[in-house]
Amino acid sequence: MTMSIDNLRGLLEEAGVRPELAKSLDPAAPMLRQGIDSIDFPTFCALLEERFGVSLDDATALSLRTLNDFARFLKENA
Amino acid sequence: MTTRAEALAAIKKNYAELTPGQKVTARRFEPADAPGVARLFYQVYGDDYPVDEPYVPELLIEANKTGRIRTFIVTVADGSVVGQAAFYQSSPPNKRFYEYGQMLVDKAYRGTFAVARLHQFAVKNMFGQLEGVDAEFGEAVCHHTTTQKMSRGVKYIECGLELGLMPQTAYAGEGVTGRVSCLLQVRVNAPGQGVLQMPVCWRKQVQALLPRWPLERDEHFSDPACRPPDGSATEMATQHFAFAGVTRLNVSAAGEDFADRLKAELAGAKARGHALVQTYLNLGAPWTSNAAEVLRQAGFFFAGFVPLWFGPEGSGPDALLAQRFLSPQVLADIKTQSEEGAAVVAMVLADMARAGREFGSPQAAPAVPVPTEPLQPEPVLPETVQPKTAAPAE
Repeated sequence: MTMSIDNLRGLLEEAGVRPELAKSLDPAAPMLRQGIDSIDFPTFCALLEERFGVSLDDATALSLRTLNDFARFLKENA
Repeated sequence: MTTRAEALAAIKKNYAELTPGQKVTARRFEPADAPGVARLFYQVYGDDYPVDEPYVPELLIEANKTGRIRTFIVTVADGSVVGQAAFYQSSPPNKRFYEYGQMLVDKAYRGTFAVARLHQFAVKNMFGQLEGVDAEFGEAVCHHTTTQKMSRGVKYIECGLELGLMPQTAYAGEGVTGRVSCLLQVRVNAPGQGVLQMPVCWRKQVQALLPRWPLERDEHFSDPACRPPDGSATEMATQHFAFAGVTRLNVSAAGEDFADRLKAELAGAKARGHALVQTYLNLGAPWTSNAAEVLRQAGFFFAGFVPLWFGPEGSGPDALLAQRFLSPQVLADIKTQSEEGAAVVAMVLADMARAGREFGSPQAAPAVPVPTEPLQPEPVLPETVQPKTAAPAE
């Protein structure tokens, strides 16, 4: 499944990330270095699992560092 | 029935480290999980957790069966319990007012998503959905904002600051200097109707906090001249939290002897070497202003307004939280995640300073300046939430 970066930004907002932060994220840079915190990140991952039926264990999730990584993961697995 | 000592002996005999790296899933507690929960409490608290239920499987099973505790866990494929959290009846006299906490994660699973999985399970299945629970509260530590953010995301509203509640020793290894404060956050599921007698001396603070929930209150300004009935006795429950150095008073009814009873409690707390006295005052009586003035004259300061704290049926009366330090204290850094939280902090610190000026009450001074603006959460890697350590009763 192809998921646009803007759609991922929308899912981040659903996960509780402030809209201005979600919109400002550089898709090629690590999310945890741009203000996404230890609550936002797993909530976002859980939302992806629920929405797309993918399985994200901790190790896999932590290997996905950027929005581009997540888009690629969903394209290959969802 | 297994005793606490027998249960602890069994935990120690069977204790084994967990296999790290397994995928965690969250679900409600089942009786077979009780030994795993006991092991977890033992790993985190040793022998020292002040309540028996977590250590004694039969007690925890029974408490979950009756609904007094609503435990949920994160588990792994081999059946091990790697984390737990709970909604449970604690200090509020209102037994339909539950605390959310006891969030513990096995040391092999810290830095994983275990805490997040627990919290997400509660978001989907528990917050606002528990039968017999009219309100929920949490005490979010203020030396970081993670817990505050988690609570706020599920409609927990800041309404008080337990200034300097916990000793620095409870957070060893976290770089904390000074006593740690906790923000009181309350979620109201069933506001009900009730009488609220506004205490004149702290009415501005109560009025500022009251609109934060859709409460239906019959508001009155309690007449300061209205005194408790002649010969009436104060109904007060006292809890001593030795580890935290805190005395907590739940004043269900302030009687004619309230000033004397309070004086005795302050003297007793000081003799015990406690740092802090907290008083929850019932805001349902016509002589509320008189009782609040007794607290103010004794050097207490406003620390919060807590809806539904006292109601036996869940509809109130609400409570005023007042605090008094017994000696000067150093406060750990206070971080807030929201404007509402920052406003509560400012309100409480201002009234503590007032109590110092007017009555010479001991002050708690921040080790570093308190920020006036809410902080954004720091970008950190997933980490466990350090639980507020419950304190043992003496």
